Amino acid sequence: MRAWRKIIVAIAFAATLAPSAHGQPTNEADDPARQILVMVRLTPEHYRPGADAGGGYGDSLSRSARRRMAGRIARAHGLRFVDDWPMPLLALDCLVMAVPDGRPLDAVASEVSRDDGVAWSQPARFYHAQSDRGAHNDPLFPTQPAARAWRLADLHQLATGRGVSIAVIDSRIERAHPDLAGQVAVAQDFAPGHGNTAEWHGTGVAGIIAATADNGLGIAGIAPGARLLALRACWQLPASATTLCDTLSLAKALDFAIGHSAQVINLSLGGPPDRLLAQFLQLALARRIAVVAAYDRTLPGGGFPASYPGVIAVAPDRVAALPIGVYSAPGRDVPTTIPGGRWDLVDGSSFAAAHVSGLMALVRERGRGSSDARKLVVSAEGGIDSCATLLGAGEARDCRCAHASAQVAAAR
Amino acid sequence: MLAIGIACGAGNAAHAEIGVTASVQSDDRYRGYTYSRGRPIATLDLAYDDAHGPYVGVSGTIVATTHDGLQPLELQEYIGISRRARRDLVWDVGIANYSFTRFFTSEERTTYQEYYVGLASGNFSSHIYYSPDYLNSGVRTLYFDLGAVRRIGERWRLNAHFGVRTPLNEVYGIDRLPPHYDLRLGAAFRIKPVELQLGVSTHGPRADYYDGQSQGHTALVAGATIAF
Repeated sequence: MRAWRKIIVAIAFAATLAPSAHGQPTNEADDPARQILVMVRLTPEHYRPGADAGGGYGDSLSRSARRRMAGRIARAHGLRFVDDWPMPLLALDCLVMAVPDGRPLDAVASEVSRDDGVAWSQPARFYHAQSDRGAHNDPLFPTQPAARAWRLADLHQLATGRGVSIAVIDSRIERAHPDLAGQVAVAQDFAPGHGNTAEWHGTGVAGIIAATADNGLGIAGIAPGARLLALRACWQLPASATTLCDTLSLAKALDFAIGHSAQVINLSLGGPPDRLLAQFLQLALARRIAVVAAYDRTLPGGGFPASYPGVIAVAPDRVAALPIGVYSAPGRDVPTTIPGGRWDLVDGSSFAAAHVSGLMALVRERGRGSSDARKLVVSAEGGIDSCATLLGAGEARDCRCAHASAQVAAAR
Repeated sequence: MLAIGIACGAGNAAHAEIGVTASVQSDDRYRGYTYSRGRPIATLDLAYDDAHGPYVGVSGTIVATTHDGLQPLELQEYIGISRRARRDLVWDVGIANYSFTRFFTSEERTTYQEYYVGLASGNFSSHIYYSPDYLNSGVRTLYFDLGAVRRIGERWRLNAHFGVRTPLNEVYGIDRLPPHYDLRLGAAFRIKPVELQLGVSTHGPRADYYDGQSQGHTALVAGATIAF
């Protein structure tokens, strides 16, 4: 045992030296508004000796090299290394650097981008959830717009999203809400340090997508048979209904969603274009994942990610003169789940997007090929024709008839 | 002995860095067998990974012996190249050189080489290793392994490894031995800059044998790695 102790003491001593070897990582809470993201190419995975041969990018040896490189970049540009995050899906390592002085972030990022080995650098950006909280506080039973506009009960005779996984990239969902209990398959927090309580925006979006049906409570989700990946990348500001996300938290959540084979990704948020997030969106679309985003008419092009080609951009109905390629869905006075085991009315394109994410899950269950925007059928009134979307334009225009036909066929 | 040139390699690509880690483990389990007779070990690893694919590394291990204190056990050098065939598919080819001291074999020194090729995609990797002198001169073997890793959150990592080694020839007049398999399941938890590991390793069909008796098939291994 004496020899064992020697080894442990040696490692403990080394641990005390480790931070000074290249130790720019800090534990202090850096202001995300003064950070840039530096993308460096990740070396391809390869053989390593010993027990961690199959350990992939998490292995300590690769991490050591990456952090040394981060330290060198930080020293060269007068930055402070905050953290790193490998993204094997993009073959990149994302280094988070704090800019300690008042230099413009775009200028610093541009300077760092010219370094050998740096793929690109960019300021961390912020994204706002696209919603207005409803004025009503009383719990209510559903008067869901989709119940009539989308003939939801008839849709559910054809599909409920069973077996489909939907990534809800949003604020923290109340998993124990009576209308959401059992609907969340996986929950991950990519925005730690912003509280641990359930938040209203994520809980509301989740309810519209996948609230349990026929449980005698609250509402029925558009896809109650689907399972949610509850990926918290946004946080609610204290004493406010404002919900905020940043580039890195969103990138981490997208990476998780793609890596865990989500079939639909809901992004009820908007902000400025972002190169890192665009790469993840490109990857998701290449893997035939349906990506649904909220359209914000106050932002150029409707905001990002709604403006990204291939992403399904959704605005609330009753909004006049939407650009071509922007879909409308129920988004006014929508009852949904809120924290505390309650329900409330909500407004905004966030919740319109949630409707379409649920609808895409139904489309997926029906096996109608890729769940992209080309599957959406628009009615003469300008809204989404949910039944035609689900059954295919030209095949059936009435869910009730289609359901009856199916029953007759089954009876025969 | 391979010619390892970490310092030279580092000058070729200004953006790459050398990785350095030190680790302790309660046992040196390699492909199921203990290489340290069940004794704890400490390992220092150095590696240089060029972003364009070439890589080299060296790993030195000492063992806490029962009667002789800390003694050198093993030195491993490797050199190879890995490239992305696609964004989500990597191929890997290289050679590893292993040297063991008398504290492993009871002989003066044992050295052998392995040549390997492999693929990695997402959470999975697989390699095939060929050695013309596996632990003994003239013993030709093939070893196939499959590794999987699953990251859970930012701190946890689960990994699994399965391998099969098969002799390719008769040795010393003894019939070819049946294939030997090994399986390892492990979990790692990272507390910057230290990673704690716990795993269970099993192998068969033959049990481990040292210190004059059979040692069974399965072992629990704990360890810690610090990245510098």
